Amino acid sequence: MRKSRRGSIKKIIIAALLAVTSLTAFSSCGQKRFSETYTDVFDTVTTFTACCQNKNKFAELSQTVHDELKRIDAIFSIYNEKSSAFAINTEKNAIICDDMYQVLLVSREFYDKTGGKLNIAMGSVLSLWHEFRENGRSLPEKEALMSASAHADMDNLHFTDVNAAISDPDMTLDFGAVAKGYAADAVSRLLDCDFILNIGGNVYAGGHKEGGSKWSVGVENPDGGLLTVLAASDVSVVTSGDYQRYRELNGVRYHHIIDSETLYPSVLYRSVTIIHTSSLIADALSTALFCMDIESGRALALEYGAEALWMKNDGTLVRTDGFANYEK
Amino acid sequence: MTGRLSELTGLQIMKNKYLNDIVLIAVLLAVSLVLWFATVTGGNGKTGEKVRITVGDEIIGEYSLGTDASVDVRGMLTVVIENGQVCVTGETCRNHICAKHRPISKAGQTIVCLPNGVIVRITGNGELDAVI
Repeated sequence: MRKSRRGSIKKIIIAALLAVTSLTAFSSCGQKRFSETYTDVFDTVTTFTACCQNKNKFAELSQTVHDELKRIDAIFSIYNEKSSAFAINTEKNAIICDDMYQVLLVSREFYDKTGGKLNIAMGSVLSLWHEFRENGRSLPEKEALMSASAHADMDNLHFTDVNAAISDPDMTLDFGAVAKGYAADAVSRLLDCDFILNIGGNVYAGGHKEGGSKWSVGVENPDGGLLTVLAASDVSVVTSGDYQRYRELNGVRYHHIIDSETLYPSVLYRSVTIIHTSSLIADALSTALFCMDIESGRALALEYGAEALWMKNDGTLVRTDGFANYEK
Repeated sequence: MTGRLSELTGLQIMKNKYLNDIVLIAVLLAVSLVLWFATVTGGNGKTGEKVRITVGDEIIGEYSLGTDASVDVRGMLTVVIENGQVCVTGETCRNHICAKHRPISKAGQTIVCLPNGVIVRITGNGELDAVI
């Protein structure tokens, strides 16, 4: 009797000991956090962070991620003369790879579901704004925007899984609203370790950070500080905001998210943040919701099982019902 | 009498054996706890928040967030650390997005000047893993 009690005490102690040592192993296990920043993809700053056994292991991993990002950027960048996007835009008929096909499928779906608020076919309009942000001293002319917008009908894009063609000679595609999301998903499919990737506001958090807790993602308040901090694991968080890419003229800020109806930067919100397991869906939704009223946006988010946070112009926040579940 | 004595000694031996186990386990526990504590709170946790400035792949300096400073980054821009906040001034690039960025103060936040390849980042305890 006494022996068995002593035995069970011993067992409990050994179990506790094992628990603590495994905790030690789990939190350290020779694992250290490493981080690398790339500035040569998607015309933005990308940071890749992962927990690895040593520097060499991380360098290998980082190389894999960087290569994948460069590969995808080289497909969707409309300014890269060797890209698939460039070929479609200039030749109006091109052979496409599966990456392009997948993005075209989702883009077409979003075009239909958002009544054209998310429109990758409005490249001709976006290029006028891009030109202004890059070098312009004056705003794009209203007439120029109007005539460009006459060539932005997704129905003039025809594609199969091997080919894409544009039947309007003045229409071009722009993948700015979807390419980073697709890239984040592609990286997440490639890796089976714990990592967090931030492609200029497009985050994918895979697994957990060292110590086993979820990754912390801060959502910036453009007026200073943070709007909120999210706990993320195996999920993507994407923010579209008026503070990310813009140019000011005469004290007015002209940002990069152009409303397909007004043809001017959308003025409904300061930022919209989306949480979804797919970064491509989150990317597309953040752009679409930035240009939609809250109720339509809420319905669309619900349809995709996404959570959303709007920062209105007066600074107040609006959330979908489940958004708070992710907030720390 | 002799029997009781030997019984006592036997008990004592067993007790000692048990004690040794406990000591061994306690020592292992203590070592594990110290190791665990070190890994959880170690690293940059004790050094406080720093402002790290990088140009391209190169870290050009790390400065304490708690100490006011003004850092000229190769004539491209100036990083100003004041009252626990960091901002960028005097940059020469086109859109001035970095200079218009609100001052940052929390670990994990960054200010980026993409045309010059300059990244200003606050690192330290409780760092956010990403800020968007």
